[in-house]
Amino acid sequence: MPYSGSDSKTVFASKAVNKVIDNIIQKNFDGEAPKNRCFISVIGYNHNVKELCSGWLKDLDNNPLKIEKVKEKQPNGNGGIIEVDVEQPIWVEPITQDGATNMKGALDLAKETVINWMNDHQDKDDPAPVIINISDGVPYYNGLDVHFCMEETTKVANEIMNLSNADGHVLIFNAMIEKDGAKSVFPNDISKLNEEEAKFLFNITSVIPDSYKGAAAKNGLEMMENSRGCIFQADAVQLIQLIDFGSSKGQGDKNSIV
Amino acid sequence: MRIKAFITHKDQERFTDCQDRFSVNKDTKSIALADGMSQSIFQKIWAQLLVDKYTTIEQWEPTIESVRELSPKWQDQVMAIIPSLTPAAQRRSRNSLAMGMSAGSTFVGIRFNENKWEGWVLGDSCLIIVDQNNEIVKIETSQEGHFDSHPDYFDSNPNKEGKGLPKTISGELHKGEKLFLVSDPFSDILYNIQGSDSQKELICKLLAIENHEAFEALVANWRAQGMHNDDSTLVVVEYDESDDFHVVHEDSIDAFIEMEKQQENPLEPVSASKDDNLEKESTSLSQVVLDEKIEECKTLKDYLSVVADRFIDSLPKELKKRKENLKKRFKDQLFKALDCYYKIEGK
Repeated sequence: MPYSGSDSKTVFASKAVNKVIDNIIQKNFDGEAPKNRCFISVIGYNHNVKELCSGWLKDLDNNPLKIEKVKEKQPNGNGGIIEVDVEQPIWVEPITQDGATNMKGALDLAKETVINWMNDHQDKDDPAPVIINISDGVPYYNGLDVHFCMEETTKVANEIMNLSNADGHVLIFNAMIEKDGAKSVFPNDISKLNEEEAKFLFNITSVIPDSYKGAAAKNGLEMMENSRGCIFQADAVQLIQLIDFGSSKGQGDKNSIV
Repeated sequence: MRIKAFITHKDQERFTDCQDRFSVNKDTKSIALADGMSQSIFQKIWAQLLVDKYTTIEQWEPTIESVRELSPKWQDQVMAIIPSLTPAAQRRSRNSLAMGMSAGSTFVGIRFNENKWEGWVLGDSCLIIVDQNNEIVKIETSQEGHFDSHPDYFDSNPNKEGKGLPKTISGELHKGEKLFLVSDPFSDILYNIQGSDSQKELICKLLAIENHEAFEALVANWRAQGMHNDDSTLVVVEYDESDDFHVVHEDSIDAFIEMEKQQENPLEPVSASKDDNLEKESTSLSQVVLDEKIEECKTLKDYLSVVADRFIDSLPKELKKRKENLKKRFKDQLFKALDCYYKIEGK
């Protein structure tokens, strides 16, 4: 389902984030407990920047904000579909107030979080963290000029992408959710992007490392040479795929995502 | 038959997380190995049921139809375990069951009659046949070509077919020949080295393993060289000109799990187990060292000091950095109590 505007963007993004956290826990759940293979931090931002939740999978599973009862469609084993009642944990609730887009502040906090995480996890097997940024375009905060905000935000994004550990560089993947505009998945050429917002996000997105090729194929996402980990005008499925893809290194080994 | 069996868990995980299971039964002269699949639930229970059934009931053949009779047992054990889980895990388990999730497991099992063997294999848990020259003759699997992350498996849900068809296998074991029952990290490596110059060297390394520590060392070394980081099980069968089973080493996952629990909760009593190995493992090295140290104690303070060391050493790994400080504080308190006692008693 593409983003249609029926939900607010934050509601749309929150649903995707909750779904993906649940998927990651479920993938690492053996029936008795989730295995602590991922550390997840979620940062929310409008004019304010706030860490919404943070923890290893087991901690997150034990401490959702609330549980909602939802109906899920399931094959009934005879070719039909049945609806079953399941309990869906909620970790992230949408911000109800509209405001600015303090992406720089969010990236500052993300930078601090990954630096702390990497300082605490210095084994040779500890993977480089991945940051997945979901936004509706360009940064705008404190009443400053948009282009100045973009420059400042790009500076922080580059600082983050230059951070590294034994596994490699910290990665930033981006998803832009907007009703209008051209759709693009994992572009590799900025000249083919028309909107200024898309060009800005392309510049603050990492080139997808080869080690993610398998995960891209698994998520049905096509990759080209030097593809960057960004999706523009993402629909719900693609948004979930991107987050799932970005955290895929954590499905088999310990990892951290923000 | 000279038999050795080893098991270990993924790097960064514990035996509690290990989804491989194996069983060696001297009476029925049978061996089985099952590897519970990661993205299924309660797969350890399912893998254990499969290997236990195969090695206990001599006539039982693991076909798609016959494994269905194990499904109610799996369900019973799952329902029994759910109330003991955390509320979040109970919720997730119930959701998973409501969504139709079940357990999947690969399988390989053989039974001996004199030096002849017959068995079944499904998925990437394989039987490797090795000749007198330590060269791989054949890899018995139900699958064709390279192994991938979607192996054939038995499903614990009687309404599901699982994947693939179990394959019957048979052969004879002669002097100098060997059989390896292995889970997928070894299947993968041995498949890749079959026919290569390095195969003899690697087979010799597997044959040289005589205890769990050597097995752990080999697995760590091979993982560093690219072996898939997954639960790893190896059962080696060598023909020693006797048809009887001589089990010279058999790891016990139950004992390992119990030891992990003891390390986490040192004050909890060791739970009763039918497994003889548990008793052996529980008499751990540290216990022997403790006994020796206690014999050397000349005063009550020496004795309390040894007991304090032992108690603090048994605390969870997370407290490791604080152990020396804890030991000092604990001993100070004990010695103060002792001094008080001496004072009161006038000693």
